[in-house]
Amino acid sequence: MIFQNPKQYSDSGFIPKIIIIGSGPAGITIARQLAKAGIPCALLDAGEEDYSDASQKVYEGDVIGDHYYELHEARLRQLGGTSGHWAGWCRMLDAHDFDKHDWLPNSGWPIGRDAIEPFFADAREILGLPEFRKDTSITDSINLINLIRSDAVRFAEKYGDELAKSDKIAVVLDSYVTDLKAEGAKVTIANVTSQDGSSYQFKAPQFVVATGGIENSRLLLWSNEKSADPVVPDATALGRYWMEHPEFDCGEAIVDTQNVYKTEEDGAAFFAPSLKAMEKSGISNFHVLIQPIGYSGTKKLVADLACTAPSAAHWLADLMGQNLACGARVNVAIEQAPLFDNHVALSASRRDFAGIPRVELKWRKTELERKTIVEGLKLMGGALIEKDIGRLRMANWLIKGLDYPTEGEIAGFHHMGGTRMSSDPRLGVVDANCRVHGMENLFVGGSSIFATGGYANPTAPIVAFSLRLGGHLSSMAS
Amino acid sequence: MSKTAIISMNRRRLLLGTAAFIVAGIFEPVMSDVSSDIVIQDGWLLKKGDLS
Repeated sequence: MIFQNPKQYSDSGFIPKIIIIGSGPAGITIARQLAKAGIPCALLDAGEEDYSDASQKVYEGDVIGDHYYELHEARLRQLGGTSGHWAGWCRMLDAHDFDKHDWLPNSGWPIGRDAIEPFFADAREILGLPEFRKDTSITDSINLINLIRSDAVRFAEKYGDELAKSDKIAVVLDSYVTDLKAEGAKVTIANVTSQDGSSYQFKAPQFVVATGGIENSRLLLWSNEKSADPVVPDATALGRYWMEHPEFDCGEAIVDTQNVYKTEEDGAAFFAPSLKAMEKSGISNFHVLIQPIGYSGTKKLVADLACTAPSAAHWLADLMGQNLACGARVNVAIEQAPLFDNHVALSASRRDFAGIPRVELKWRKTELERKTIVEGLKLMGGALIEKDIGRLRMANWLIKGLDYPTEGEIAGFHHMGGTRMSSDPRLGVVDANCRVHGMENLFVGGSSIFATGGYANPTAPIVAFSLRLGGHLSSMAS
Repeated sequence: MSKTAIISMNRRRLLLGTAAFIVAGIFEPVMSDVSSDIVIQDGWLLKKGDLS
């Protein structure tokens, strides 16, 4: 059932066992799991069924540090959440993404990939994905990887009818949870405000915060300020270790297309480093996209190469004449180390319509990201040379040591960390079951729990983690 | 900004992307060669034999 506002819900007499705050991929997936187990839940969203400027305006905030997208453009505040403008790329985290690596600060999860692998098949079904192909080794250092371009699932569109017909899920729109109130080790009340300024108090035995990789931190930070008893008892790591996937056009390449690798339909191919190469180079995880460009761009590249390397240019020009080589753009997306200083904070000066402090995102890249791009391109270029299948040119900004580009792609809209998973409450907010340390009935869903981010686009892992959390909550509730 | 404008802009950023560069440099240039067999020349990663 879908209630258009909290008053309709309050009047209905619906009694949930679990309140889920946020109706993005995480919230909807958890709600569907609970409904399958016969557990009634309320699924709250601050927005409406469709986009509205008034709702989106609440997401305005400030970024302090490196250049980033406008925060109200980097996510969507409506039923279905940010799946509404997701591009559809899917991959699960690598097994070694969960491990501690000496060269990656604050790395390591309290669980391994095996904890979410049992949920991959259901996650693929939810997202409409084929089987993930195994990665293929190109050289000792570089693998061809399977990053699936799916028909991006808009969760509100795909699951809207199911939610409307469910007698176990009460979707409540226009329900902005401004703060949670705790008594001892339990959350007892979710304070809710609607756009018209009306206030409500929602109660349930269990609560799940799933409002996205920025808002989860904002809600819990503000709740800690408002509630007499803390909602996050040890808030050392709350809002901290925030991560993105910085992403830039980093060069060009000319590649032999006849037997290089199995490409996607548009001729693009994705590559990533082996664990051995990451360790040897002391770099984080990354992927390289090699995407064909047009004939004129290819001709210019060959001409440029001829000025520097005549032998290579003649070889590639011959292949090009037979339609067996093409030019390509080289785009690199990198894992960012989880750092304490990169964090979500509450603005001291700016508030939204409900009087809640807006977000301040304090975010900077470090030398590790620069090193990962440069060394990663050397590994990729080296692989093309080793297999004699192409040549790669680094972008001018990398060669000359200029600052990062500020236009075009600069990151993936991937908001991770802030309530990261750790067995140590000083280093993370949630435990291995996504339960907030020190609280009996408060859980967190979504990519804010990520301890590290790998390079994988987070939606598929979010769905797998949400299925796992939904199963855990179901077993607890029943 | 309208929904259509935000979504189309975001998708454009996600799917296409164009790089523009600024000139205030604060990072070390990439000078070192890759290995004894591979060199960097004019930004290209090359085999030494490519240069002949």
